[in-house]
Amino acid sequence: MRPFHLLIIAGAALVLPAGAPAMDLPIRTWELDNGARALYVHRPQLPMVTVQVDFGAGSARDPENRPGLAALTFNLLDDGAGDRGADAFARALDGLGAKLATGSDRDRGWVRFSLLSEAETVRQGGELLGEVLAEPRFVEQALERERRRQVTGIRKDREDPHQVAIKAFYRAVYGDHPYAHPPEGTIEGLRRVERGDLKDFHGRHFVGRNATVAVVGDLGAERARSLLRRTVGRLPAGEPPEPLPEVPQQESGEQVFVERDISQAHVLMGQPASERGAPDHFPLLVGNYSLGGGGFSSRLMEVVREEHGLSYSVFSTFQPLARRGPFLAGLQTRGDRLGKALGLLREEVASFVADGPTAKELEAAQKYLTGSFPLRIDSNQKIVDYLAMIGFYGLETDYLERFTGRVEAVTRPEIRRSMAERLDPERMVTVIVGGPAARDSLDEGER
Amino acid sequence: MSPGRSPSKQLRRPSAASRTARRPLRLAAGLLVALAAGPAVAEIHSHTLDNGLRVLVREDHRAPVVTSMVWYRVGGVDEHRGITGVSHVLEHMMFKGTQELGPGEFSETIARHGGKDNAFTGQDYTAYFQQIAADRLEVSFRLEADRMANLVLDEEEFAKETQVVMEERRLRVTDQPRSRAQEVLRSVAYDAHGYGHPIIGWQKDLEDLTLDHLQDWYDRYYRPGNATVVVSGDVEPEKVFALAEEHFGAVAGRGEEANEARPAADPARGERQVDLRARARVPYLVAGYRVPNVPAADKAWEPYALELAAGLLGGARSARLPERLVRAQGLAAQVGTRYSSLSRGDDLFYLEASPTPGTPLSQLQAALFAEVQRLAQEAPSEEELDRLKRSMAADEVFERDSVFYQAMELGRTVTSGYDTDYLDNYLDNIRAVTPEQVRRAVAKYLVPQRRAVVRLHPRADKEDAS
Repeated sequence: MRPFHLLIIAGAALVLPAGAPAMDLPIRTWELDNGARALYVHRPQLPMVTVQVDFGAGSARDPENRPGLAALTFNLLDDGAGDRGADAFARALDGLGAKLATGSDRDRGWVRFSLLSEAETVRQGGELLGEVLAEPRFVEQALERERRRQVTGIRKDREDPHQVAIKAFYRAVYGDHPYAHPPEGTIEGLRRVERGDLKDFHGRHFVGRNATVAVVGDLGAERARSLLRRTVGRLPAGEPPEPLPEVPQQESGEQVFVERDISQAHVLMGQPASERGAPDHFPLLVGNYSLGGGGFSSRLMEVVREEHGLSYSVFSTFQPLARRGPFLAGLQTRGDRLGKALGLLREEVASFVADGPTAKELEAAQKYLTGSFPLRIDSNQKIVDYLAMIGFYGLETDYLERFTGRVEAVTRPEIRRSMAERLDPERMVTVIVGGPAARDSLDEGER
Repeated sequence: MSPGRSPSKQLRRPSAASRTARRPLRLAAGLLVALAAGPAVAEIHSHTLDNGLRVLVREDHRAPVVTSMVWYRVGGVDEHRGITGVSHVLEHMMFKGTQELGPGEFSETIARHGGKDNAFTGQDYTAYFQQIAADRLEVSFRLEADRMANLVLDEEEFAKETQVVMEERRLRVTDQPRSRAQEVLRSVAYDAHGYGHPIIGWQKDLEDLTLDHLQDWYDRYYRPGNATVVVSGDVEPEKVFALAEEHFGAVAGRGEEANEARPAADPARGERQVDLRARARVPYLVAGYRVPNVPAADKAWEPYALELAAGLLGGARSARLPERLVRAQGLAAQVGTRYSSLSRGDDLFYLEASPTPGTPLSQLQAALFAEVQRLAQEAPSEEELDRLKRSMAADEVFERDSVFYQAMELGRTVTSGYDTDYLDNYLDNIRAVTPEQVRRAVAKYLVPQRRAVVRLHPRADKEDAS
């Protein structure tokens, strides 16, 4: 693919003055022999390279009776690979000054690798990365250890009201869909995992046709190609996974109260809404800024925090996934104020879905989103994040180039239409985690 | 609490969640051995205005953006019982209007110019920042100079904002057992010293705080002579200085001296241990040793040796605690260390850990302290120390990828009372530490009589197990 240039488009509607500096971000893409898709940006100003490999191997791919398998697999990747046990591997990485991180969410699992760009470091680092991807050992002892850690993590999450709320929300909203269970899994599910499960999961999902890789930094194109051949290129071609099932429509609204001995009530309200690559991505992005995504510029902040002092953090967000990811609005407030806060939250969301933003709000959203665009790509790390997302979800590679123009083109009717299509406040799920005062406040009704 | 350079601090606006590595990432910077990297520290340009305001600039031309910060040398360490939390509440109130702007207009203006803004309060400082297009720096300076000189404190806004801060306290501390354990740790590690109080303030103090307290705090500490402007990004130093003169030059000095207070804490005299039963589901242990920072150390190398000790114990994946307590002995599910030599007062060298299921907390604690003892008795090998230094050196490069971090590091250094040569010389100082010096520092400072420990135990609860 030919490289292209990204320019900040100056126009009458934008605040940017003529002569705003352009930013070159030429993205090159190619396909490896095994079908893996690569996206690359040459950025030599700092002597570092970051590589991220993403696999369609998130928790949505967990076998039904082993929720948490994907997360455990990714957690174990760097616990010994190739000929090296965990300790030797750790020393090799640290000795190079390299940073390796693995993780997973509902859609994908990733391996992220940063290292200095000096030739010998890249050579040795590539070897380690290749081993992690192609030859993880999944030693029995490591499995036991990581399983216990992951189980401890799940127990610890029960202390955190936000985690309790999020898990309850996804279960309520997604029901039987593979998105319902938390990526870290359940204790029962993790206990069933055997070494063979890990190897199977790895064998099925760590394949070229299920992989995208993003490379950013001080590596020329040829060196980048060579590095990827030696690492991601080691994987077999394999098959892409089956598409995930569609998320069924929400039939009716629901309220779930989870009692915990805490001083605040945590509220999460929402429903499945949008998928990655949706054609109305920009109307939703721009619209949500005004509702609750824009921090202090948003209606939710203005009403719930600034005007009423009810909450430190109140927000709304769309979290698109491969299938419809949730719209979420939330807040936390002292238990006895739950009724009032929840009432305000519902009111603001409903009125926004019905009427959309004012002209003034739309203008402010567009000014912010276009003016702040350079901040989205001002570091190697952020560019890797974008390339990984673009690659994994199959977005157009000119996504960044077209961003500001598409924000500018959004209209109020478009926002209203998109919001109305995606959201129905009557059918939202509301999860509340709170104590007795919160329950009383809820029973008293929303005043 | 995560290992890292920054002490715990309160953000005015909750930051967006970001994807994090499974293991906490690393500690402070170190020696650059690989020749391929350029100068380890980007050059720092400095200029001081007549009214005492210092302006620091670091260039980074990779993107047409800047991080612009204003740091005030005032934080939790300056507070005492009765007014704890005042620095943080004042930070919130700085967004609530000046003689020029109404409440909320500061952030609204920045957003209109495509900028992000926020602020945070730490033990040693309060800082405000914008991330914005480089050609909008003027907007940032104009607004910051305005609120440095002309803040208007309104009773009604104050009443509402204190409620917001109390919600923040509930969110971050009251309903989070580990934060509560850390709060208890600091309160027993120090007697009356400011570091013993939570930055967010005790609940009672928040309830009793008045507008007069805030006004007094603002008058005393929000002066050009007690502030530093830090800019990193796509700028030219001379132009930044000229812009600073234009906007901050007119702010009256009101006494040019910076806040030089380095409140001395009572010497640590005897170990303190606390068992805390709370709404935890997993046991947790956090310990802190009272240790010196750079100005207070008996020998100049001691704080750097302690930073290396923190790294050897828990600062990387091949560090001793992960290798031995997690992997080999299977006692710890999580373990970490944290220490920074950069602070106004004598801070804590932290150890924290949570046990694997079935491991008693007492056993984990014993193993943890045994590892410290081992390092006190036997110096690390050259190979082990060198590996850590190489890992830290690479971090220095990775950190330069963040424009924000470049400004953050600079602001924190200077506001903690250090000169910029602390950063320039940091690598040399780290490199110069020998294995024997690491051992000596550990043997001298990481001793029981300087230690406070909090053990957090789950209590039997009526909540079901799900």
